[in-house]
Amino acid sequence: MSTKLHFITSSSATSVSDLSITGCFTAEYDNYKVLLDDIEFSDGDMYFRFMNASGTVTSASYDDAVLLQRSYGGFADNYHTGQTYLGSIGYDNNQQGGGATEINVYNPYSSSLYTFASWSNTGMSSIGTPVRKGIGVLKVAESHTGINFVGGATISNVNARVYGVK
Amino acid sequence: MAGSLVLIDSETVSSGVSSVSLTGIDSTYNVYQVIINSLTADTNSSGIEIRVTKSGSADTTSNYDYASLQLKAISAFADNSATNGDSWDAFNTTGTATGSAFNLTAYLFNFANASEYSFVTFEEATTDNSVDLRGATGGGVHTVASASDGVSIHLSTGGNIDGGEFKLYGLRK
Repeated sequence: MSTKLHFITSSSATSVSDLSITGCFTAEYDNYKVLLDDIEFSDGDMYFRFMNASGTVTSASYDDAVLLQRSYGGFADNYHTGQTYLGSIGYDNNQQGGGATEINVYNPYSSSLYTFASWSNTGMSSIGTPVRKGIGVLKVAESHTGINFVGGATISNVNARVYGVK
Repeated sequence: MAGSLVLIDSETVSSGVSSVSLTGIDSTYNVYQVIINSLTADTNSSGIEIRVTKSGSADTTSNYDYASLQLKAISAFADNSATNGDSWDAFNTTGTATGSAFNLTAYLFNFANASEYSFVTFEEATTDNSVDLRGATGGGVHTVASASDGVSIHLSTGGNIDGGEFKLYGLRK
């Protein structure tokens, strides 16, 4: 019996403003799992966006809702419409190496459906861990073939892997 | 992780059906995963509801508990819970507007174990009648100690599911 979770690609970077993974979403899969096991900042949040077949980052029409759970304080409902990105999907101000984010992506390649995502993250700060559960939608019915991770500050280190779910 | 997800059952809906069943759960795997991709409905304000199946038939008895947090892009989040319902109706509504769709990733635990309850954890991302983003994160239990062999998905309105891809996977031990 064939297995249905297939590794597609991985990418990492150091001291960058953003990281693009192009060509990772194709007609081969409808669903994808994206894992980030390294999100490091001096002090910043990570966000993500989708890229179209021309390699252009789509930077409008994102709605999201993110529950922020803090080990060091109260929880918060963070929600937005008409944003330029989705997230936060991770925070760090400690550069201790790591971070843990799982993103499920629905229909990125479809040119007729919106692209949805849901994610879970455990981050790191000097006073405790911020944990996030989020959902998002890109309200553009366009084929997206790549994903772009953008930092709210210079990204010290990032490592991401993309899997297709058949 | 590669090589550990095995497709058990799948359904592609392209015209109206009242429900979709995914079956084939047995003791081969301990944990199963359900992915629903772009479920569309023929009726506005259709809540998505899920039941376990016993020998292929949906169990409609009032033994479903759940607790979830509803996430919304347009307003503060809300707690949502119930006990002894006749389905897991923990999920948001969708409708007929262009762009309205329901997406779900869920994990099923202990379904094949006849001496334990059937458990689920889930996360959902949906656009409703107004194409506003809503979702849920939470879990549920079917409080009957008997084996479940799948799940059945239907709409709260009694309307039809017009589209979507539905898949059931086993997670290799």
